[in-house]
Amino acid sequence: MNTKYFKQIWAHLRQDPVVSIISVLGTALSIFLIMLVVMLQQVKVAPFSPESNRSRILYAQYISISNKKWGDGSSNGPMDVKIAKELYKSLKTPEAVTIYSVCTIPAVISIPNSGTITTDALLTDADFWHVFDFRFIKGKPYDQVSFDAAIPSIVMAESMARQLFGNIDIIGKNVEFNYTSYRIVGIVKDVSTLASTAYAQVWVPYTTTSYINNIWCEVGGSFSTAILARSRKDFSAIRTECNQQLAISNKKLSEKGYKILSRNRPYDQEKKTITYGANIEPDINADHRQKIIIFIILLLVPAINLSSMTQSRLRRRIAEIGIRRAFGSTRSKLLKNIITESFIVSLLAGIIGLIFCFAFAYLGTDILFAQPYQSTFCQPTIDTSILMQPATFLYALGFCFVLNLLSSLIPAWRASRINIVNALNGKIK
Amino acid sequence: MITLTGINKIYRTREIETQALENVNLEVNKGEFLSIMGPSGCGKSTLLNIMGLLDTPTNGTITINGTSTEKMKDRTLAEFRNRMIGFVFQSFHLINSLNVIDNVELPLTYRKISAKESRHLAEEVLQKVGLSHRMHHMPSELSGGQCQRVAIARAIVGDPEIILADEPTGNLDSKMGTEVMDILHRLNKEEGRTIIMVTHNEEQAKQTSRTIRFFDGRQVE
Ligand SMILES: Nc1ncnc2c1ncn2[C@@H]1O[C@H](COP(=O)(O)OP(=O)(O)O)[C@@H](O)[C@H]1O
Ligand SMILES: [Mg+2]
Repeated sequence: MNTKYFKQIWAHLRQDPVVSIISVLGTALSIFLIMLVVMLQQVKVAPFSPESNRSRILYAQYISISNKKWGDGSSNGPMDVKIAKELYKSLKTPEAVTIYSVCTIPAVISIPNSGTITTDALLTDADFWHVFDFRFIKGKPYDQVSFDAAIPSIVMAESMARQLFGNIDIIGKNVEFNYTSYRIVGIVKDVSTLASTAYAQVWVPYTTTSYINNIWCEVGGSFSTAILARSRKDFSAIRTECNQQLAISNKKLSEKGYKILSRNRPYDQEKKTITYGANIEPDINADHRQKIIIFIILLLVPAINLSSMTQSRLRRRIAEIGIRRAFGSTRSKLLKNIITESFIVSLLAGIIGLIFCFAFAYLGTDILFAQPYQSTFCQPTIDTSILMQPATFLYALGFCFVLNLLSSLIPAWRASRINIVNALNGKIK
Repeated sequence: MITLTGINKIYRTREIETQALENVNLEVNKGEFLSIMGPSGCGKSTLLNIMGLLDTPTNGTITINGTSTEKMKDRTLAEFRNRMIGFVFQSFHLINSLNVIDNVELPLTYRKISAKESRHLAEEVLQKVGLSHRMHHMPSELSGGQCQRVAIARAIVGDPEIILADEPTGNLDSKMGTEVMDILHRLNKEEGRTIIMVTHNEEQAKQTSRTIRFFDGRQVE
């Protein structure tokens, strides 16, 4: 492609500035809306620190249990540490498995001679720091030994440390966490609430808390499990292994009339994001269908409008079409030219739309990403590492392409069919 | 070079049926400068468009350089137009959003040819028509005579054997018309191109090697 293309496009855009601006902005707006939808999904599935391994993590957030005595009923919720270890920690295929509290827990934290602050605390094991890639600014995570020994250690987000101490040179100092003294072992970069699993303001070993004693229905508790596979290819092997393990556990439980329902757990990142309850398995196909319908509507409506604009623009260039054909353009070459030209314009509009979208994500983060079922002390925050996902740009490019095809294919095809002499004479038919 | 046999062209619209050409048989020889005359509406443009493969006859056959064009597909037709024929129209038909040199290069964009060579060829033909100094102007900045010279440059840049000119001086005053005619004569004499030109001007017709006359879709002379 050469500059001639761009020069001509520019000349055409300038010929009728009002129509050009409307159609470029129209395209930009549709790409903006589509990309908002994409982005809402992207923050849930795209990798960013500390959830950089999202693509190779399997989650067992909940457990479901039934009992002979209950008929069809089942009990669903987070699981006990013991069953989590039995079902998942025992697996051979994964790279690492972590057990952590199902959600953040409101906790109070204080240092001597100051007031208390309420924080979001996550209770974890030592492998948690392997599965998730936190950025440690100071110190390091608590290790397996201190976890096993239930030594009260705490990892803190930078902003929390600054709020408490005014600085972050505090490794080895003590804080009161829920009225117990904990030693600060590490400071990490703040985590956005959009990292829905790893987010917290402070992290402590669950062995140091009483939540491990909260057990219901034999296997229910307060914890979830995340399994880090070496690669996605291992997912099916891990699932097979999970099912074998489940059968063993169920055999033991059957003595008391209990049975764990698998509900096809564990789930990958995408399926996890559409899990709204522990008592049903999310339907990924229905979710895809729903999203496709949304995208079709978001694309089709502007495409129809843009199509008529492309049509009227081509009508004004009818003689040019005749000239090009007279000097040797084939129909298909003409079609290609028109579509390429309008694709360049769509791409320009798409870039504008994407910029709008990023700007909106920054400025309207809390409106856009407010998570309805999540109650955290922090607002969601967004940064370039979350937004600048290669996949986002590919989606934008793809949608531009589809939108352009939808809006220019029919007008371009018609233009390429016009009788040459008529076109030269400025007649449409 | 071009042989037309039994050409009929009927335009059908909802209301009327116009027989624009009626049993036209014509042989154009290589290197000829043929002029076509006749009153307006007698079918001259229709004939030229059919010869230039821009339109198809209702019946009859066209043979160019011994090749029948009857069953040609879009691709081959486009290739033929591109390689064999250069058009010059009464109203110039330059692309307004392209500058002079880009307009001239148009036929070459449909060939496999490097950008550098294409530019070089375009510069060469612009020199021939005396417009090297207007290369980067837009068509709207040129006079009618200059536009028509650009159009001639475009018609010959691809080195076609045949030039079809439909009233090339129709929109020009006599001075500019003479300039254009001089160029056409040079292309015919010096480069041996076959030229078929529609004209209303008896003087111009006299200077060509042969003149045929049309009346009401029929060749009368
Ligand atoms: N696209 C068309 N549809 C209907 N009639 C046409 C069309 N083009 C030309 N004609 C008719 O065919 C006849 C010949 O036209 P044309 O070849 O343009 O004549 P000339 O160039 O000799 O003035 C005229 O009567 C004209 O009205
Ligand atoms: Mg005419």
